Amino acid sequence: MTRTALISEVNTVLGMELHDLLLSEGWNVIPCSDGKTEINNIADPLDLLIISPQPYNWCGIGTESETPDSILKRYSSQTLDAMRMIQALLPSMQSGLKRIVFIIDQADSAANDLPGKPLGCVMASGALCMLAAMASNELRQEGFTVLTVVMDAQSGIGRDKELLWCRLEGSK
Amino acid sequence: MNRTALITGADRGLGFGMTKKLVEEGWTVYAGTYLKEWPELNGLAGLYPEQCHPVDLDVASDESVQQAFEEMSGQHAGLDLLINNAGVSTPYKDKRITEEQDYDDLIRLYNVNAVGPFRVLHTFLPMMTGMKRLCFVSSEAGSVSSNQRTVWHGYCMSKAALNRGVHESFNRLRPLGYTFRLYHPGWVRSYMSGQLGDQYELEIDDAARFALDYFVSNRCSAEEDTLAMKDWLGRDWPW
Repeated sequence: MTRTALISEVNTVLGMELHDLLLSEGWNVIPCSDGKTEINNIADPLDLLIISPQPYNWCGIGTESETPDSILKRYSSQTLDAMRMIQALLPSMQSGLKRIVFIIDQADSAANDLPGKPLGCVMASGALCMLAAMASNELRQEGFTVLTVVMDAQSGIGRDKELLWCRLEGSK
Repeated sequence: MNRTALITGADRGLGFGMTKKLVEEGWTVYAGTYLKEWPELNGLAGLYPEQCHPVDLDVASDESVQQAFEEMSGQHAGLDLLINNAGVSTPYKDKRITEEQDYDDLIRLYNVNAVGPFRVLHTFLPMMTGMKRLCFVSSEAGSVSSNQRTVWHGYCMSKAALNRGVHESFNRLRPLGYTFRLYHPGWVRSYMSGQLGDQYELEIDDAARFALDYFVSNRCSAEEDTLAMKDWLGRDWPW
């Protein structure tokens, strides 16, 4: 039986590698490049939703042009679009594997103490981690598994491939 | 020695309580005011005209924060203590993720609770002298690993973002001599959600006393070099 996954940000190094990894394992993959593409036209069932990190240079974030407005845009485009996507896709996921994986860029994670990271990215990432936690709190009652996986989005899957695959498909 | 503080969201609740206590202890306080219908702050300014200075300050507005900076920097040489206290809740807080969300309201919460403190911080940083103490009133609701909620998405996400932003600012500014306080004040009997939260655990005066004990006291440098979110009982909260 062919499983189906949707990746939220396929136009990144990590997104493309996730796409190729799933294809190589025989999955059907729905690529999504802006967090919104045609998510209302998904055929049932959707087994796996991957919320993948956006590129760092989105809307000027990470440059000298970072402003309160760009920090708000990052939140809207990353965290709130992920929320919209979950809401829109939940009906399609009810008869699938019921698996949602949030991938958090290692650069934005709470464990990273290097200074100089874009404020908009780390803040939106913190909000995204909270969204993942709260989605897990609610959706696990309906049989969903919601996970966060921290990865280096700049360098791609690399040596984490096997571990990541276990997380994605749910094997031990 | 007279010390000077800026407190955002000082019209009522914890912000007003901290303003009152600092003024009574001899501080000069610039008290950010946004809710004109609350008269207590002007009453306090009338009692302590040399120490308590209400200043129009909407932390969600670049223009308002810049205007407050220009007004204050023309009156006073420096700030010892910045307390980012302003925060909002929402009438839409009880919606689950499976229910339709008010996305404009989620943005509004983020703009006030998460972006507001950094709008204020970056604008007022040139005025920080003396103690160079940067305080952030956050919440246990922003602790990702301890969160068990299924509602209050907007509030919890905004406070988680605030905590991460404070962490990033700590990494950048601590080497320059700034000291940080990230704080969960407890649930205070205030009007943050629009109605008096009389079911909560702390009276405003007690909450203000606990908060200022932590914000104003000094710690050894090893403690200052570590950022943690503490609550009013001194407990650490995880990220």
